[in-house]
Amino acid sequence: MSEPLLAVDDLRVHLFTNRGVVRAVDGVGFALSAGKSLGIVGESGCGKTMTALSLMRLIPSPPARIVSGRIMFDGEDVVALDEPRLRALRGNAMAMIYQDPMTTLNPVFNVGEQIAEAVRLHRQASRAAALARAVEMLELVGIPDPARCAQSYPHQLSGGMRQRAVIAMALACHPKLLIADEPTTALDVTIQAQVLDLMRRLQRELGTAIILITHDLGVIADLVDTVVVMYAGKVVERAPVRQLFAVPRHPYTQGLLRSVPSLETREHRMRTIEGTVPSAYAMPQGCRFHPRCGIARDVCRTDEPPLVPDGVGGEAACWALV
Amino acid sequence: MTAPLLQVHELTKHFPITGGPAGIRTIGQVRAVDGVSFNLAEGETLALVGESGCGKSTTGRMLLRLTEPTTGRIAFSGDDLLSLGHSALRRRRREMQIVFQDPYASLSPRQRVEDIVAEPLDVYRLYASHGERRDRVAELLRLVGLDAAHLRRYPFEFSGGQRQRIAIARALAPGPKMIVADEPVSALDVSIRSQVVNLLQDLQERFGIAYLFISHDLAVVRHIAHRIAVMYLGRLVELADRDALFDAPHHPYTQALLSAVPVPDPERKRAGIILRGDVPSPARVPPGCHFHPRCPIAQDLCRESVPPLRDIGGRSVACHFAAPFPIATASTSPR
Repeated sequence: MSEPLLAVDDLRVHLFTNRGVVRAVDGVGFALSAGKSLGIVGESGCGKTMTALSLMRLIPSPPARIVSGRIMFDGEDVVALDEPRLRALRGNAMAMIYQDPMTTLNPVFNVGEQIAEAVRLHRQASRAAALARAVEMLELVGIPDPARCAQSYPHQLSGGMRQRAVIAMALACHPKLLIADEPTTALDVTIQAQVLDLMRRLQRELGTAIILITHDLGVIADLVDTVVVMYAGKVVERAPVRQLFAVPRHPYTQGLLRSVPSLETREHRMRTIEGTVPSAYAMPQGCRFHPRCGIARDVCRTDEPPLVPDGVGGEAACWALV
Repeated sequence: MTAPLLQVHELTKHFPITGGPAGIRTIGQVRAVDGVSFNLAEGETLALVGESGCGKSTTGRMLLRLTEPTTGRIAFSGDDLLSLGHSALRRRRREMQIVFQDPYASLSPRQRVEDIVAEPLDVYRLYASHGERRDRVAELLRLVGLDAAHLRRYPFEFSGGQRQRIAIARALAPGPKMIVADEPVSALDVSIRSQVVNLLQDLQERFGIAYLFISHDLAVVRHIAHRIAVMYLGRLVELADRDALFDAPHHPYTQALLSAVPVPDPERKRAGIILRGDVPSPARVPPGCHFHPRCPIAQDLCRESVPPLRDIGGRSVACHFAAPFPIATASTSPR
C-alpha cells in the first residue's frame, strides 16, 4: 500500500479554560489516501470541528492547544510546522470550506478579487492572470455567467451561489486535500443537492481528497468512502461507508442510525438514544458513552475501551466487541 | 362532520419595500404569503413544509396574529380571528400557543424555569395560590419529561433539548387546543431530535392538541404529520395526506424536494431530480406559476397563468400538468 496523503495519529487537543481542562479531541486517529473521501460524523461538541481545524492548525489558541499527536500530511508533520510553512500550506495544498459562506467571504471585495487573492498568494501570477483563473474556477463550479459573478459582491449572491464561490476559492490552487466543515448545513435541501452533486463531480474530475465534517448521516452516505464516528472527543467507530450503514458495530453508531428517520419508515414512534451528551467538564469514567448505553457492563464504567479491528476494514471501541 | 378547529382562507401577507428620497415611499412588495388556504382539525397535525423564504413561518405567525395578515380570513373555533379586538384576541390566544425553533432565544435568560413556564398561568390567572402555581408548573415539567426539582434553575443550566422541553411546557400551560410549532427540532442534535418529536406526539395523544408543524425536514414530517402542505414562494403547491404525498407526490416541486433529501443509506440511488437555479426572491415573483423558472416540465401555459389548487383524487395540487411520481418506491434497492 502506498503512503496515505494524510495520517492523523493519537491527536489530542485540549481547551484550557477557567473552569478546567476540556479534552475536546482525545486520541483521534485516521488516515486518508489521495483522491479519497472521509466523513467525520457526530453531534455538537463531539470534537469533529476541532479535529478539522487542527489539520490546518487553525484551532483558536488560546484556549485550545494540540497537546500531543501527529498529523502527517504529504510527508510533513503539520503539528511541528512553523508559521511561514503553515501559511504556504493553507489554501494551497490544503484548503477548507465552512458552514456559512457569508462569514468566509469578505463583504467589501468582489468575489473575483477574493479568489484571485488566493491564487496570487501561492502562485506567481499577474493580477490579470489571477482574475482570469478566478473566472475559470467560477465556471468550473457551475456558476452561470462567471465573469459577471466575479464582479459581484457576496451580498448580491444567493446562499447556494456563495457556497459555490467559496468552493471555487478553496480549489483555486488545486489542493490535494479539501476539508469541508458542514458545507451544506446552511443551505436549503434542493440547493444542498446541487452542492453535493458539485463536490462529487469535482472530486472525480480533480482528484481532490475530501474530509467532510457533518452531523447529517444522509450527506455522509451520499459522498464519502470511509466514515469516522466521534463521540465526546473520541473515535468510537471507523468503517467503510457501506459497512458502517449495513453493520454498525458500536452501540452509539447503532443508536445514531436508528434515530435518523428516513422517508420510508412508517414506525409510529421515532427511535431515540436516551439521555444527553455528557458535559465537557464532567466526562464519565470508562467508556464515555456508558451512561446512555443499553448494554453497559461494569468494565464500561471503569475502563476506556480500545479501538478493536473488526477484521473487515473497520474498527470500533466497545467492550462488547473485545 | 364538525367544523374544523381552524379554517384559513386566502391568507396573504405583503410586506412593503420602502425607498425613495425620504425612505418612506413604498416602492415594491415582498409577497411573503400569497393566498394560502387550509383547514386544521382538532387533534390533527398538519405539516407546513418548504424551503427558506417560502412563507411558512409567516403563515404560522399570522395564525396567532403575531404578524397581521394583509388580506384573508382565519376562523378559529368558529370565531373570525381577524375581527377580534385586542382583549378578545388575548383571551382567544389562551387556546393557541407557539413553540419557536431556537430554545436559546425563546427563553429569557434572567427568569427561572418556574417563572418561564408559569407566565401563561399568570397572564390568564389560572391559579388561586402560590402553592397551586408551583404545583401546576411541577406537573407541566413532569409532563415534558423534566425533573420537577429543576424549578429554581435558569435556562443556561439546561441543554438544547431540555430547553425545548421547557418551551413546550410553557406552551402547554394554558391548555391550548392548537400549538404552532415553528421548526421545533431543527436546532437539536439527531439523538435529541427524536426524543422531542416523540414527546410532541405523546402530548397530542393525551390532550388532543392540534399542531401546525412548520419544518423543512421531510423525514421528521413523515413521522409526525397526518397531512402535509408544501409551500413554494408564498403559495401552497400541494396538500395531501402523509402517505399519499410521500408515496406519489404530484407536484414537480414536491417531487424534486423529496428526491433531494439525502438518504442515510449508501446503497441507495442518489437524488434523481436536481433542480436548476435558486428560489427567486419573493420581492420579484415570476408571473404565472411561481415554480416555472425551475420546473423541468414547464410549458408556455405555466409562464402565463397561475395554476389553481385543484382536487386530484383527494389531494390538492397547484400545477397545470400534475401527474403522480412514485418516488419513494421507485428508487429503493433491496437490502
